[in-house]
Amino acid sequence: MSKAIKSMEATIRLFFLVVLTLLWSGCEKDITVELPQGEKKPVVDGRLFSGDYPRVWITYTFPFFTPLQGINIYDPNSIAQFLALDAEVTVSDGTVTEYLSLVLDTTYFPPVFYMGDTIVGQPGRSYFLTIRLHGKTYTAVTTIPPIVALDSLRWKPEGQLDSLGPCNLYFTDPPQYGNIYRLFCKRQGYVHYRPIFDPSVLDDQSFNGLRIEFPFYRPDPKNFVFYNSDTLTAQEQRERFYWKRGDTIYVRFCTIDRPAYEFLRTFEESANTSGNPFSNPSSVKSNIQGGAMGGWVGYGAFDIWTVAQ
Amino acid sequence: MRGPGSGEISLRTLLQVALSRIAGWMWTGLWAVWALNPGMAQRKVTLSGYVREAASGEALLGASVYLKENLKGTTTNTYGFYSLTVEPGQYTVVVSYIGYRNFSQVVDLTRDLTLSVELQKVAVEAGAVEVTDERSRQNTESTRMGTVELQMEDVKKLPVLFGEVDILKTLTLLPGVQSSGEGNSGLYIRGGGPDQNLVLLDGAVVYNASHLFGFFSVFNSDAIKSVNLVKGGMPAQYGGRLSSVVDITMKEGNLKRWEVEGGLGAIASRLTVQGPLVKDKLAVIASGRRTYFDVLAKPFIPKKSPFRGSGYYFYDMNTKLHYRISEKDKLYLSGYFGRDVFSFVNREVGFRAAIVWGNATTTLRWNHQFNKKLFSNLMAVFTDYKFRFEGDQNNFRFKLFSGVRDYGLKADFNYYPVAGHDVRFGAEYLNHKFTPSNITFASQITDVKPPEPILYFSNEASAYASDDWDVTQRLRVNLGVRATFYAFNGRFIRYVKDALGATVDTIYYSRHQLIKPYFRAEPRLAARFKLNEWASVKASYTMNWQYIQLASRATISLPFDVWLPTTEYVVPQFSQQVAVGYYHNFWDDMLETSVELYYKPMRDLIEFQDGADPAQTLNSNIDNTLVQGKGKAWGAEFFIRKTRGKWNGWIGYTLAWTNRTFPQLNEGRTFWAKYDRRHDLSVVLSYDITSRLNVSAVFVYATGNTLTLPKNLYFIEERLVTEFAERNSYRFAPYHRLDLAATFVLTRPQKKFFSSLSLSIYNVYSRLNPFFIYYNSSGNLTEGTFKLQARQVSLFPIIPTITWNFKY
Repeated sequence: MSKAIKSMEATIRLFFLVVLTLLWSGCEKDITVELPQGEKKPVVDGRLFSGDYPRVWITYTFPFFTPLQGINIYDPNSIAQFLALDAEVTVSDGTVTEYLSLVLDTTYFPPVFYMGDTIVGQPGRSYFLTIRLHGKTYTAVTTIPPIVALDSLRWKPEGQLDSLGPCNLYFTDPPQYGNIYRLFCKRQGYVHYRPIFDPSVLDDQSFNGLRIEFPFYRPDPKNFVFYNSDTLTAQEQRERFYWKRGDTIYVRFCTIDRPAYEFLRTFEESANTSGNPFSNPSSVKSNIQGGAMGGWVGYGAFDIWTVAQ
Repeated sequence: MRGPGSGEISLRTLLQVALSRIAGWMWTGLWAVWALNPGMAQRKVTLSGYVREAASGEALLGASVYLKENLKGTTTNTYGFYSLTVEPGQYTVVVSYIGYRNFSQVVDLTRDLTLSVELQKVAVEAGAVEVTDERSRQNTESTRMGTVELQMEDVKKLPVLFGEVDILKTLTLLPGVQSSGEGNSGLYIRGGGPDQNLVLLDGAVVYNASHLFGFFSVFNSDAIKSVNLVKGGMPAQYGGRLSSVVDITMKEGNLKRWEVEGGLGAIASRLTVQGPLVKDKLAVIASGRRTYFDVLAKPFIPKKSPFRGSGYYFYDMNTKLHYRISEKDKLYLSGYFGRDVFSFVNREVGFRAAIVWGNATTTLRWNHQFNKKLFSNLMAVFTDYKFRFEGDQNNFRFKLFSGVRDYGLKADFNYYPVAGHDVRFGAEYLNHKFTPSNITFASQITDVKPPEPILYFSNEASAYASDDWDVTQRLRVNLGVRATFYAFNGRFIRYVKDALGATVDTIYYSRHQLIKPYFRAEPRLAARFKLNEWASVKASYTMNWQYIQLASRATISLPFDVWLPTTEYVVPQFSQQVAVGYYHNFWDDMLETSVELYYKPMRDLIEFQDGADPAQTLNSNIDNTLVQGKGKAWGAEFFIRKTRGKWNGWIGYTLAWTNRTFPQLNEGRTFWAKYDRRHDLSVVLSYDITSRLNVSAVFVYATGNTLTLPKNLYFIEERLVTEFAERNSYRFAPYHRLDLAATFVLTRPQKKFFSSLSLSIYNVYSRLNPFFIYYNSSGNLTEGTFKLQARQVSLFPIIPTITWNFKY
């Protein structure tokens, strides 16, 4: 429901922008802004899905106008300045503690991350992350909530578009308040699940205990900073965001705890409003202690798939 | 979960306590006034009456009435009434008002006398500027500080954008008043926010004074008589806002003859009809305005376009009935209704949306003159601001509604016991109902039902008394006090949250159950000391409490912003203001100058928390996401105004600072407010070349607004996230602009039909003033071509417009 409001707000902002565009036409120019120099801080992007090993990406913040031209972002050597490759990363479930080791995966950015091979995420348990980096220690804790199962998925064509449309998911929210969800999905043929469009997190405050129908669209396979959306063909452009008749749709429906929700909600809000002149600059509520940015999130994952027809 | 507890004080008991306290204060105040009155025993006589405009019968407010022999005088109140009580004798009564010929008559005041005066307008004839021997000397005479009154006729001569005369934009040309440039009609007065201004239209609060997201104000210039702006030294009869009062009076309707006036502009047209239904008894005025971009754009949208049916327009209507029951009783019924309507259709994806918002106000007013010394004004007001969004796509339908509804009663008394004392007292009661965001949401599955919307109910009562007192010939003081009682009451549901936003308790309050009361008293003091005939020094101190506020998340005000009351979580905003000023008139009062210094500490101002989600109003209270903090504003204002002659206009310059300190924002460090502006200069000039041709020019210069800049970037989940620098630590480039206008009267002066052509050139040298900065990304990371570039967007380049106005 909060999504509905967001889309309303988006429509109003869009309308405002349309009006402005009509009015200003041509009163735009490039300017040089002297930005204040910020200190370099570590950024943690840690995930632990139920049934999987912990994975932690550690990078650094970099100045806003840093030239990124001519860099092969999938080559760890050419982006070494953004990566923390010398951290000591441990994950503990309270009884077992394991050291995570560096893994290379050039299908994702950043292409290196820390991964374990002993601890496997289990619903109902808490996991402690400790990172030692250049003499400083950063810690975080996350809990994987019980898994909530989806009833079903159903694809539907939209409006006059016969073969394109969103997919609906159906589930029943448990009777007590406080369930929070995050939805990932992907099309057949892709390696990585992606969160649905912002907000991908959903708090049951507005639908506690009810049976829910929730439509979701197809996220871009990668964020627009990795490719140019204007290089898409006309057909790809038309089909963008839709699931197409015949697609196999994979869904990973997750439960998360509240600190993780606060982190993810503010992260998406912030990533979404970056550069938007009509919103206040928002800051991300990190759940990492010790002065690092980012978050450590445990997911109770439920996987399901359907074919759009 | 808790229910209404037993043993709690009921709202009624509290109201009784409040009323008895308020009554007590008022009696003390009145008693003090009488006690201060030295010559009560001596026999005195009273001269009273009304001052009106000769042509239309409209009341003239603020006209000066005085006796030449002893220089005792007064000014007319909002309804044109005056009363002067003096020792018996023979006097020369002088009545004067800017732009009107003086009236002077010798009267034999041996007993009470009624003298109503009609003033003739000074004809503007080529080469013959009327020189009158007596001038109004409000600038140096009155105790009022930080107060400016504008007549619509003067405002209409100035250059405008798209041909629409905009009273709020004109106010920003005065010192101490800032706008944030184009695309925002919010007023920022002496370091205060846009919600700290009490905008009154015939006594009714207007909650959103702008159309089209701030490009135009809702006040149709043809229906407005005058605007009174109070930015400091707020008199006791006003309250409920920290920064200012914008008191707008609608025309009363011509009691003498029928008049039609209107205009054809570039984007909108106006029409006003007024006249006597019964001559000198009952008058009516009706005024309307509508934009026509939608009509103009229609031919350009192809029939097959999926967007056909989308469009935007706004309209507004003002009406007023004025019934003069007798010389002593007058009844007015006035109303305003305006709407912005936006519709958006995209058939291709089956999406439709409609956004409608606007204000409605109604005022019923009864003026009664009890006797020669006591004048009363009773008002019943109603105001309603609504914002509605409806959208549907396929089978999903969502609706959002937010709004404010007030009704209230006001009683205001003017009492003139003896020359040298103008006593004003009264009481007000307002009932508010706020709907911050009421969302309904429907889909095919029927069990998705939203819970009941949370409404906020509150009551505000106040009483005030003040005396404008001539202590000596040189010293005049205005002593006032305002007492307020505010109650936040049920029906209400409070969701108690923990630090992470999870609900830990739910409290239900029943209808009318008192949740939180606030009692406050606001002393108001002002003094004027006359140095000589031409110069005076003034000082004032005011204290203000504000119980309702606008919560805005965006950097510009959108109709989406919600009004919220003070609750048991959010305490009322508070400010104090100390001001001192020096006033000097030159050239036989033709040139008024002043310097005012002010210092204004504020506390409990509100802002949204960082990362707050105000859209989350279901099973949550919006005030859970607010934080409160302190602010400070100080500065100096310089004003030179030429009031008469072929050349007139003003120069205003403000040097100002304003900052904010919130424990939860910017890591608790003090930051400059969004509208902190070091320098602000306005030059307004108007010149009558002939009686038929007037030219005018406006130049403004202002320090750029503050802005929060990005500092660093980082990656999470393959997305770029921005880390911001210190809040509001950067400034836009300065804002400056020159506008020119010429008004040419097409008809001959004696003719009944009057028409004129106005040519306006906005932003003559096409300065690209910054409206906002955004960061444009190009290229992509995969190919190593990703680049961020800061871009500055400006709204209006040079814009010439022609408007044709007529009247007969």
